Amino acid sequence: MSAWLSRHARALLAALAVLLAGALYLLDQAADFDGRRYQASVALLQQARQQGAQWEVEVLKARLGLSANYDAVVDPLALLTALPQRLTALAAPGQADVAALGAALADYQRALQDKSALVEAFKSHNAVLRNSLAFLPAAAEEAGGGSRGARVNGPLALAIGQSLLDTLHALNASGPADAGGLQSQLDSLQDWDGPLAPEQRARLAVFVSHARTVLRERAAVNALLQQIAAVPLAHSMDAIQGLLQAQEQRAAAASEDEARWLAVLAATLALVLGYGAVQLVRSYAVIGRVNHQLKHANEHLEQRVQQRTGELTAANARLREEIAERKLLQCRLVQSEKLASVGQLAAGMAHEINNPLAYLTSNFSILEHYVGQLFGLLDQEGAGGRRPDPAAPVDLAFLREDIPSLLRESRGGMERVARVVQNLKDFSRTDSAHPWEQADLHECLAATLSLLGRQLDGVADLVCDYSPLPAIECQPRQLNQVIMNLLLNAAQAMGPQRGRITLRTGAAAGQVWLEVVDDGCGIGAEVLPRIFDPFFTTRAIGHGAGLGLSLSYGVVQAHHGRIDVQSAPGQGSTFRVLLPVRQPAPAITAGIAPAAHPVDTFVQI
Amino acid sequence: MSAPRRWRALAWLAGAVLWLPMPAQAGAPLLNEPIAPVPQSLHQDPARAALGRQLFRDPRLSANHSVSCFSCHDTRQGGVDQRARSRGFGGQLTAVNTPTVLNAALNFRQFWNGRAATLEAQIEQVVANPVEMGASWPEVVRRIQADPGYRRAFAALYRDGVSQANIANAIATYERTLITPNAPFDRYLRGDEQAISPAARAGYLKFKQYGCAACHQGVNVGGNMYQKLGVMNDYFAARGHGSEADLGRFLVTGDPLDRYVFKVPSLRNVAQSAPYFHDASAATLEQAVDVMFRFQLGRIAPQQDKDAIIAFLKTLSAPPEGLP
Repeated sequence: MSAWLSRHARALLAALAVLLAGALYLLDQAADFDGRRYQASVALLQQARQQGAQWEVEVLKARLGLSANYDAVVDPLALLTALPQRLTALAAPGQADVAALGAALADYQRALQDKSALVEAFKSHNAVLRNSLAFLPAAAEEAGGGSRGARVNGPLALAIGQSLLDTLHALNASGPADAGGLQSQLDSLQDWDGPLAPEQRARLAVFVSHARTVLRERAAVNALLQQIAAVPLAHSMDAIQGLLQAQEQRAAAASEDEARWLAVLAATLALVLGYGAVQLVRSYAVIGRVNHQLKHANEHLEQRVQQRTGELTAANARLREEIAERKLLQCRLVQSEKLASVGQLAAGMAHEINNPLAYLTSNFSILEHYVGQLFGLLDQEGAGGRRPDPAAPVDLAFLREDIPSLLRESRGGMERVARVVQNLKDFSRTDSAHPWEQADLHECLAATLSLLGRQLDGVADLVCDYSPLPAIECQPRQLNQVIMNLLLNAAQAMGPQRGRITLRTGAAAGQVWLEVVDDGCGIGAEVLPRIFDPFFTTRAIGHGAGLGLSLSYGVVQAHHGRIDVQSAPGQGSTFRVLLPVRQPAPAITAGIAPAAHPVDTFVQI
Repeated sequence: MSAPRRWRALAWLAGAVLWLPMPAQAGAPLLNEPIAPVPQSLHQDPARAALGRQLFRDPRLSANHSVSCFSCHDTRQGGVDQRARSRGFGGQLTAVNTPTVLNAALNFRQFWNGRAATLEAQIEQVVANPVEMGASWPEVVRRIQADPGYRRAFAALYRDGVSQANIANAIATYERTLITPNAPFDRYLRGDEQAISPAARAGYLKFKQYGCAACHQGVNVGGNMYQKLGVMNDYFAARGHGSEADLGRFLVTGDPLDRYVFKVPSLRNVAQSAPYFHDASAATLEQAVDVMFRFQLGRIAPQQDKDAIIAFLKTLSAPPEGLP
């Protein structure tokens, strides 16, 4: 789940990064195109066109004498001059058509320069024209001597008047019509043939000069006005505006494209974000659930621990109870086994003791008879020589021979009984806290064999293959029991035919060993692992509780030794007991001894 | 309406009520005259103007620390040095007579031949002019930069600190405060009939009648057009000994028609700025008026008319409103 999430999260993040980069690129592109720049440029151009038109209007007003001064003709120049700079400042940085705009602005600047020069020239000429024109009638009057009144020169006044009229006419004519005629008229006036006072000649010269100035300046002014009108200033501004418009349209188209892409990007972004949000909500739900469970588990953990602890305590108590019960049971079992074996032993003992008792009894009855005979004989001797009863002849010689024999035999029987009792006593002695003793394993073997000899003799031939052994630290009575169990098991393994039991001993590397080998029925592989289990038995119920090997195992363990078994069905068994010559430490033996306690309290026969 | 705005509105109202009776003593402003009154202010940044004033008087703008703008444009004496031709940093004489700095801001171009479109351009040219101040701009910028006071002032007033453009702008800003809005004739134009004498009033009439006002018109009484010197008679032939500077605007445009064409000079403070013309050929107003009548108007006028005109011209003088 987490690997899935992280993979998806990575993919989502990558998609987001790509989309954001795209959006930023488009936004950057969009920022390049600034509609306000275009609007401002257009507004500025509009203003400049207005000023340009105003400029021409002011020129015409000046020409017609409608304006008092030229300030109005100068004012529009400020904006018109600044226009290229301001437009350049407004142009978007990195605009593709800067060169085209620059060219258009250069055209504009050339036109403006031309027009300014023409307007300036116009202003100069117009001022002169207006002055001379304004003065011309007065000059005519002064030149004609009208102001003086007295000596009016008729022809001169007429000529002057004609010239004035013609000059004023020429002023309003559309073209330079009849300029030549007027010029010659003025020439003749300047070189007036008639007698004139010098002062009047000077006044005439002033008039002619001003009339010529009017004609000259009028031509200049009209030509300038035509040239001014012809300067393509407005046209160059149109060109700039067209250029800006084209640029704007291209930019708008591009920005429309970008807007479309931006919309697509935004939609994709929204989808990705939505997907991410759904994933997030889902993972939050999972986290929430897990959290809840964790919290719940946490809340119940203590309770559960307590519960479990309680259960464990209860189980422990049950276990203890069970163990106690089992111990009790085991004790009982051991007790009953003991009782059973005591019964068995008692039967065996009875047999063992009965035999000598039987011939002791018979010997004693014979001895009784013999004693009676001897007493009778003694009585006859005492009564005076009376002759022995012929009916009851007494063979004194035979008595003399048979009585000692009978007594010897009886004594042997009694000794045998005593030995049996002594052995029994030795076997049944319970002595768990007994310290280790130095003992010879062969002696243990001999003692055991003396107890079991008859039982073994009945089923198998006993072969003893002893090697010299050192004395070992042990509890001999417990070892007797082990040996007895092994021998009994070997005897029981025998089939109907008489078998053979081999006892081998040896010593090696601080250890002694004893092997009990039989050629009996052997032990099945399925049974082999269980033979040392307590209460495991193959015998019929009532014939041993199956504690023999188990106890033997415990005893050997207590002696820090080992029992190995090799067996196969039909091929007999070999039990090998390994025992250390020296027991390790007294502390450990002290600890072991109680464990072995139940073991040596019983003897199985 | 916020409290300050309310107070301002009240102040306006009070001002209007107080102002209303005032035109009673003065007539209505004269309209549609060839001459217009100087505006009270061109609304310049006072701090930049103060900085410009300091620079205006600073000889470090000249090559050898010998002259400043003020050396030739004494703002207390009509904005000129009263010399025919001024002496530059090395003692050399300038090519033309120094025009006044007063009301120069109202001229449509600067210099006699109009070669500078702005005051800034005029300043940049004069500083670098080999005769006038003879300095190199990078050196001037370094010198100004080296002055902690200037450095602080420029840093406070200009985003990019000390630079050629900013030095020129500061000086030009100062020069734009050197206008004379309250000359007697301006007051007359604004409606105060008694601001000028009857003779001057008559002179103004003559000024218009003779056609002086054909060129000397507008707010600056000139300074808004070019005119050929010697329209009606050949001034230079009459004067003799021509110089390159006589070519006037031709030196700028190369157009033969611009030969002898000059910017029409402003007549404001004309009584204080003798001698007259680009070649300083007229030492007095009388001589100047005579030259004008002869070569520009081509007219003969009685002396009393010329005197009246001179009386009028004298009403065009005033100290500048800004700190001179």
